[in-house]
Amino acid sequence: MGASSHVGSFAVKSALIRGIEAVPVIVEVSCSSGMPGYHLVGSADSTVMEARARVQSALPACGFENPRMCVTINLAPADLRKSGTGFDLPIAVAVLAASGQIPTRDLDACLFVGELGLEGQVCPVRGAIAYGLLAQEQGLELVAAPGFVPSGVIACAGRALVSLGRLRQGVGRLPSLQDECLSFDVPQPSSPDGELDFNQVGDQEIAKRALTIAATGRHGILMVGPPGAGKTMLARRLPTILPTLDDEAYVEALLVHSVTGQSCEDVERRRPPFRAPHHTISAAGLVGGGKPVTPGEISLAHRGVLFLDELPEFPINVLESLRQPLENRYVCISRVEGSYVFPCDFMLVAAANPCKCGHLGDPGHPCTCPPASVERYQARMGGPLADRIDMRINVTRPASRKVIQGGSGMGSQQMAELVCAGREFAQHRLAKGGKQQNVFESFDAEARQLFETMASRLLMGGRAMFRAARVARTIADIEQHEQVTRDDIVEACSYRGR
Amino acid sequence: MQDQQQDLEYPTGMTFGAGAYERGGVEASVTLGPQVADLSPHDLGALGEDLAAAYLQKEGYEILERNWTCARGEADIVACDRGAIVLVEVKTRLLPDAHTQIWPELAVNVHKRKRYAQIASCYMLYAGINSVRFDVVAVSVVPGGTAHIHHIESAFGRDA
Repeated sequence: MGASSHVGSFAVKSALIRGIEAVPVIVEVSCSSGMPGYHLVGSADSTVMEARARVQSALPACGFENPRMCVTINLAPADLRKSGTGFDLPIAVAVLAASGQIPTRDLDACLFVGELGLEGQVCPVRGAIAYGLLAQEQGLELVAAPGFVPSGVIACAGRALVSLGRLRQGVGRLPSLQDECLSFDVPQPSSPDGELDFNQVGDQEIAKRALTIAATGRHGILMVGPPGAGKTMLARRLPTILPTLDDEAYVEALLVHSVTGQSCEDVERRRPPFRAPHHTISAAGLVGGGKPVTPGEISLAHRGVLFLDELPEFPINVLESLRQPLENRYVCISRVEGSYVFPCDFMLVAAANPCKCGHLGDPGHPCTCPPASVERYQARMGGPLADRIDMRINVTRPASRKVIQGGSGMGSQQMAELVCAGREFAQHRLAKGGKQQNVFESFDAEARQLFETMASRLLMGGRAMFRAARVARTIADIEQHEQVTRDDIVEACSYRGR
Repeated sequence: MQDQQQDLEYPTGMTFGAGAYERGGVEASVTLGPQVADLSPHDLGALGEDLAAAYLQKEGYEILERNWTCARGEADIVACDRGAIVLVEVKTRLLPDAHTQIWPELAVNVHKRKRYAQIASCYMLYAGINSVRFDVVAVSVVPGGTAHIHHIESAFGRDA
C-alpha cells in the first residue's frame, strides 16, 4: 500500500484579529490516508469550524478536487482562541497546495485572509487595516478580496483574489491589491459638509463660541438647556469645525473602525469620527468588551467626538466607566484570556436637560419637577465625571424671531478658521517656549492674581483649577495672546458652571 | 451469476494505480463490461465484495472469512495482513456518470462504526484474539463497466 499512503502537507500564513491588532497564525494542513474529511483543530470556535463546509463546496465549484484523504487542519498557535471567517481562504489554499493542485512557489511570502462563498468567491472580512499593517510589518504580500484595504491608507503590498479559481496559475499572476481596488476617490481634505453647518443654528452665538474653544483645546463640554434649544443640533455640527485627520490619526481611526466591522464615510474622507450612542448603551458597548473583545464607542470616537445626548439618562455605572479612559486617552480591558489596550483619544460632548421636565430656569416655562427630583437629576451629572468635563454652558431657548429668520450668526467656515488658527498658535507657542511645566507660568501678573481670587471664591480643587487654567490658555490661543490675560480668565471661569 | 462470480474471483483486467493521490484515490481498476449497470443492488454489493477480496489477495492479504455473521451483524471480509487481523467493510456504489464524484466510504458513518466495533468484539471472542484493525474498501462502478477500488487502511478505531 505504499502508493496510497502518499502524505502531503503544507502551511500558509494567516492572521487573527485580537483586539485591534492582527496576530500571526499559521494554517497547517496535512493529508494522510484515511476516511475522507476535514478535521479542524486549534481552539476554533463555531464560525471557524464552518469553514470546512465552505471549503468543501468551494473547491469543486472552482474546478478543484477535495482530496480523497483525511485532511487535518491545524491553526497554530493552537492555544489561541480563533473566531471569524477569515480562515476560509488560507485553509483552502493550504489544502490545494498540500494536495498538489496549485503551484506552491511564492505562497510563503503571502498572508491570506478572506471568507469563501460556496462558489469559491473571496469576500472581505473585518479588520482589513489590521491585517494590512501586519503584512506591512512582516514584509508579506496580503492576498485578499479586491478592495480589501482602501487605497492610499497603508503602503502594503498585496494581491487581489476574486475567486479561488484564479489561483490555478499561482499567486504570482494575481493583480495587485492596490490596482484592483475600487477606490473611493482619493480622500478629499474635508470639504465643508454640504448639509451640516453651524449657521443653520440660530441665536446660539454663546454656545458656538464655547464650542469653538472646546474644539480648539479638545476640552470636554457639557451643554445644559431646555428641550428643543438646539443642543443636539450644535453637537452634530461640531465635526465640521474640527481640523481634518492627519496621516497617523487617519490610520488609527480607520483601524478601530475596521476591526469592529464598521465602515465610516467620515473617517474615509479624513473627517473626525462622530459617535452618538443611545443612552441605553451598556458599559461594554461604551468602553469595549464582549467576546471576542472588541473596541467600544469611545474607541470608535478615537480622534473624533463622542456625543452623549441626555447625559443623566445614561446608567451611572456606564458613565463611571468613562473616568479613566477620559484621563488616560486609552482604555485597558482586562479579561481572563488577556488584556487589551484600545486608544480612545476623543473629545467628550454631552447634553442634558436641567431637570426631568427640562424647563428649570427656562423663562416663561415653569418647571413642574419637585425639588427633590431636580436634585436627584442634577446629581447624576455631577460627581467625578463632571469634574473631568472642562466646560459647562447653558443653552437657552432661541428667540423665535431669529429662528424664523434662519441662517444667522457664525458659520462653520468661520469657526473652523478660528479653531485652526488657535491650534496653530498653540503649536507655535509650544515650539518656541519648549515644554511648559505649568500652565500658570504663561499667565500675566494681573491674570494670576485674578485667578487666585476666583479659585478661592469658587472653591476649586486642584484638578478644577488646572482645568479652568487650560481653558483659559485655549482662549488665549484663539485670541493669539502669548500670555493669558485677565479677560481670558474671566471667560474661562464663566464656562465652569459649577 | 455463479459463473460470473467465478470469473471475477481472479479478474484479468485489474490494473494498479501509480499513486493514490494522483489517480484520485484509486488503487486499482477492473473492467467488467456494461452489463454491471443492470445488476440489482444486492448483486452489485456481492460483486463489490468479490472484487475487494480479489484485490486484497493480490495485495498479499490472506482471506480468513467471507460474510462472517454473528448476533451483532456481519463482517464482509475478515483477512490477515502480515499477522494482523483485519475486519474489512466493503462499500459499493454505482455512479450515474463518469464525472460524478461519490465516495462510497462516506457511507461508513459513526453509527455504523459503532456496530462494526461490536462485531469486532464478537469476532475477537470467537477467534481468541485481542486486537483487530478496521479497513474500508470502496468500490465505485462507473457506467462503462469499470470498477475503481480505493482501500483505506485503519480507516477508524474502536472508539469510532
